[in-house]
Amino acid sequence: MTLTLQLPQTGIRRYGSLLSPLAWAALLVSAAVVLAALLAPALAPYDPDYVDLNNVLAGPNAQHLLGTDALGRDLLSRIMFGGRTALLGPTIVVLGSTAAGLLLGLAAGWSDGWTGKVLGRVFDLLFSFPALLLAMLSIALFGKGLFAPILAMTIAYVPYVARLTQGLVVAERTRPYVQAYRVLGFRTPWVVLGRVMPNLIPTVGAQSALNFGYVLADLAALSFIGLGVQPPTSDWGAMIEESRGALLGGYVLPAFWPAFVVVLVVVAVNVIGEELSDRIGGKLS
Amino acid sequence: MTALLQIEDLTLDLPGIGPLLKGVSLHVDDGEAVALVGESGSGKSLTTRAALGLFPGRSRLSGTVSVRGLDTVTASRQELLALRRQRASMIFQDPRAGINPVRTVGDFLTETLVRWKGLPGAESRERAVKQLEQVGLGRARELMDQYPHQLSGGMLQRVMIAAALLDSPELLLCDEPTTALDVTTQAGIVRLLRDEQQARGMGMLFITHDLNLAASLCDRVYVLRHGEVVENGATRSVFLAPQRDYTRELLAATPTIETDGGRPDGGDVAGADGAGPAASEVPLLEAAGLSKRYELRSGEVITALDGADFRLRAGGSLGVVGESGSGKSTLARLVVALETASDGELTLGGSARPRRPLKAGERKLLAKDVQIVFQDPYLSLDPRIPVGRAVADVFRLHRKQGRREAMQSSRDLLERVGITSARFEAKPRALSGGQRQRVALAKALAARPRLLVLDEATSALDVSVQAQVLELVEELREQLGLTILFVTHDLAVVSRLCSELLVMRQGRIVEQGATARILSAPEHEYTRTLIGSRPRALWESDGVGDAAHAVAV
Repeated sequence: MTLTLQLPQTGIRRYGSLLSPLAWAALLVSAAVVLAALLAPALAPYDPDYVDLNNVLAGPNAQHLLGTDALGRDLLSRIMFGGRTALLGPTIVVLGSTAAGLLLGLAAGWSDGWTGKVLGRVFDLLFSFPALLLAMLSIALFGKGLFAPILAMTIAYVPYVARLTQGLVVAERTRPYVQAYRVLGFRTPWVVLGRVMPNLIPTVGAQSALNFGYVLADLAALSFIGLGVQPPTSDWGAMIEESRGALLGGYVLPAFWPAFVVVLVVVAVNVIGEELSDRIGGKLS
Repeated sequence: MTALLQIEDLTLDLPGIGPLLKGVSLHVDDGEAVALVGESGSGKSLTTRAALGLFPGRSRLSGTVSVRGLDTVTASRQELLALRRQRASMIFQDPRAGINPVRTVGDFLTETLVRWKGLPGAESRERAVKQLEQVGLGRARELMDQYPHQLSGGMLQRVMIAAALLDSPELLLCDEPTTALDVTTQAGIVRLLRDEQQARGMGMLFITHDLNLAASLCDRVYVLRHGEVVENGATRSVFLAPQRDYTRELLAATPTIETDGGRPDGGDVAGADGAGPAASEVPLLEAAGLSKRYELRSGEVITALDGADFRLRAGGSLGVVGESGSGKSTLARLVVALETASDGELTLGGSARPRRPLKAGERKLLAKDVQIVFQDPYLSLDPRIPVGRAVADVFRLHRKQGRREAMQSSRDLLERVGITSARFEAKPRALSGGQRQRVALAKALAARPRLLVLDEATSALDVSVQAQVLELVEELREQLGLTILFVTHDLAVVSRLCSELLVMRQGRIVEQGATARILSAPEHEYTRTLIGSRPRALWESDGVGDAAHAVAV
């Protein structure tokens, strides 16, 4: 007699079986970019700031795989190091806006009374300001660099997370399992933070993954218009800006590579975010 | 003439899930009503859908499904479309899910006539109106311009039946068409289906989990289990002389009204109206003029519960029976303080409930007096928390037990309700409906309540599982001296479990007293209707069914 066991798959295998090939590719791309940025000091072939005026605007060759820019700096190295600032910004923004958005959304969703209504209006108010405008205001206050735009972006992205969380909480609190906790006499903070919040994290995480892509593009745009990361620090947006002169002179590659990486990462992160929300949506329905 | 529906040796295998149908054979002839009975997962819906050529994607099929000679397993898309438009119609469980909410009933009914039969609009409308009248809907012309949300579930199911009949099908497939409806509404729908089927000489395949319903409607029956036909034959002989153990178990588990007062618990049958030997005792739960009103944004006031008076003595068991909108769930939610009363008094264990939302401390104290088990076992457990920990959490909260001690208590309690320790670490989704409801019961009991409210706690379960859970509740009640408040739409379940009974309608208690007395000699008209609406086998006297038919619609 044969005995067949149907065990529920656990951990990554369960996710793996559900991810599409496209999502797998997106995951690999993101992982490769993150690793390249983290390990840049060890992996990069050149110092990203090393100027070689004898070798400017070179095309891809054996020494410089992606070529060099107008100052003869190695593009591959600059992209690897540039990833550190380009990815750091969105990471901080996403972590900050997710944490704040979750807490505010939970508070807004759980209270029937004025707290919920007032918070809801505050979110709407923030929604009406474009993130880039807030960032520029913040830069005017705190000066150029990474800090001001990150602070502004964090605030600007809070309502995206908070509104979503609020909606989820309103639906969740009427569910029998939450009501059972109430009847059992568990205190509200324990139920909300300890039990309801963890159940929302997958859905909110999917939204935050999407936000990551938008923030990355926004911060690159800020650097491009010269308000973000300042030279000589390498950054993808700043690299595109620095290559404007070369671009007009017919040299496309110095601007193309950083732009390409920005698009690549934004698309990859979007694919992952979409996949996550589809998967969660499918599971809920 | 070729057979209407002939399924032979149908096997359906879904890669990764396994075989769902294992050689199902059945046939439906013209003018015949056939029931397909089984519990969830038995494959009854799959079998029925096969008749329309609706197979789940990626499934591996073998066998034949022939409708008037057309094999739906191998038929082309065009042939299947023709089959669905002309020969066969289907009626589903939830009428609301099958109709576009932003289009009128008239649009819905005439669409197929205009688009497929090419009838002019005016004539289509005429035919639709006639069909609506024929399925027992008054004011059919007005109805044509109404939207689905303006209709009750029963009316909407009649509209769906009208839509199915408009195509003049030779084969009518019904997938649990009355499961979502109240019992009095169900009686009318069943009568309508039976009349139409006989008048038109249609073949009908009727899927249901309810054996009594099958007996009240169908000449022949197939009993399905795990994708196999266990038994088939004339309904009467299958019911009266079942050949297989599974059929016997199913029949035994199907609740019937017991007028001997349910369990023989003697002195328990103390009138809820205050008569009887237990009247002198202080009641555990007492309601006086208890009311709940909701004010809508439009300013309209809905009275969900209107002046309820009743008493439930400690150790007693009170059933609350009513249809949707009767206020029975509101009553349950008031008792566990998920709602606050608008008026009246609610006294539990001698202390009056304040008419305001409870404070955290008060709620914790109340938790030791009363607990609730909800209807849907798929929603009432936290999906992320392993069941052992879910129960242990309650022990830690209410008994101040340490982590290890609470886990041990949880293990003991779960074993007592029939969850083996192998399932201790399982998350709710890995458990069956019955197992989840056992866990929900354990969670509620971990708080050591004196009163346990069961809000339709067994309605979502298969009959055999329902029987087991009811048995468990009875057993626990005796062992722990629990007082039970059982809210349900099912008279049979109440008759088995409760010695006292409240019958509710539209927010009011219309009759109360000892269960045996009410069920054998109901005083109120509505109670009689409720009892008379229960499906009755075709071979039993048809007289009572007529009474039910008269009040339905």
